[in-house]
Amino acid sequence: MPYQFTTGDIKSIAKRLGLLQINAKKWNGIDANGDFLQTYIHDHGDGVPILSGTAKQQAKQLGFKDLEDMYDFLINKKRKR
Amino acid sequence: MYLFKEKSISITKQDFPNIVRQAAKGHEVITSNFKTSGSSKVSIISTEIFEEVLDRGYKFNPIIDEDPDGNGFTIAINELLIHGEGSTLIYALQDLAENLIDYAQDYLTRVDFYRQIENRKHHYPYLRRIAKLSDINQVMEVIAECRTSLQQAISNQSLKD
Repeated sequence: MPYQFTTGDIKSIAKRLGLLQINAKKWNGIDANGDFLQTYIHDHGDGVPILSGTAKQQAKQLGFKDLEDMYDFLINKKRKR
Repeated sequence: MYLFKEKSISITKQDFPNIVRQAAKGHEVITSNFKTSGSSKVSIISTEIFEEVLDRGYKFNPIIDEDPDGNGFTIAINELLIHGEGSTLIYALQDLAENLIDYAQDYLTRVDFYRQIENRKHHYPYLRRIAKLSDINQVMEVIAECRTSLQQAISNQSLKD
């Protein structure tokens, strides 16, 4: 099943994981497990869909198993990680 | 078999001008504090040889992902946990090069921090390669050195310019 994310989704996931925006594109920080995470987010506007390849990379960089795992984290607001 | 003779810090200090001359010729000198157990060793080595080792041993392996809906490209360097994106291959490569320069600047400024992170401590040699380059075009060429499609994109862009 294909998963579609917007820039706003990725920013919200990054914030929930404890990442901070460091500069125009770079976000990083330490998550609840004590792991350092870093990703680059192109801010095209919160509602703009992101490229499928970019979403795959961001899922990996944010410590998710795959896109499904990242999507589950997005919709399940109680999930810590 | 260990071919190096290590020198103590005090001997290294006394003989430093000679050691630098020898290192420039290709003789690596390893020094450490013999008085402190577990003290880290330090190599004094020709920068030219060091960079040659990095250039030969740490090539980038960019992965290109074209969006199925035709919205653009993502290029990732998985070994460095980094990516770039753009509406065309050349824009994605430029974006990746910018991100890589940004990461290299931060990494080399806070190398002691990054060396403690298990999945990032091995990034040093790749980012040290980037650090010696003088502009973004050189960074793009280094990323593309093992990918014909990226070399072609750079070449097409040069023709347009």
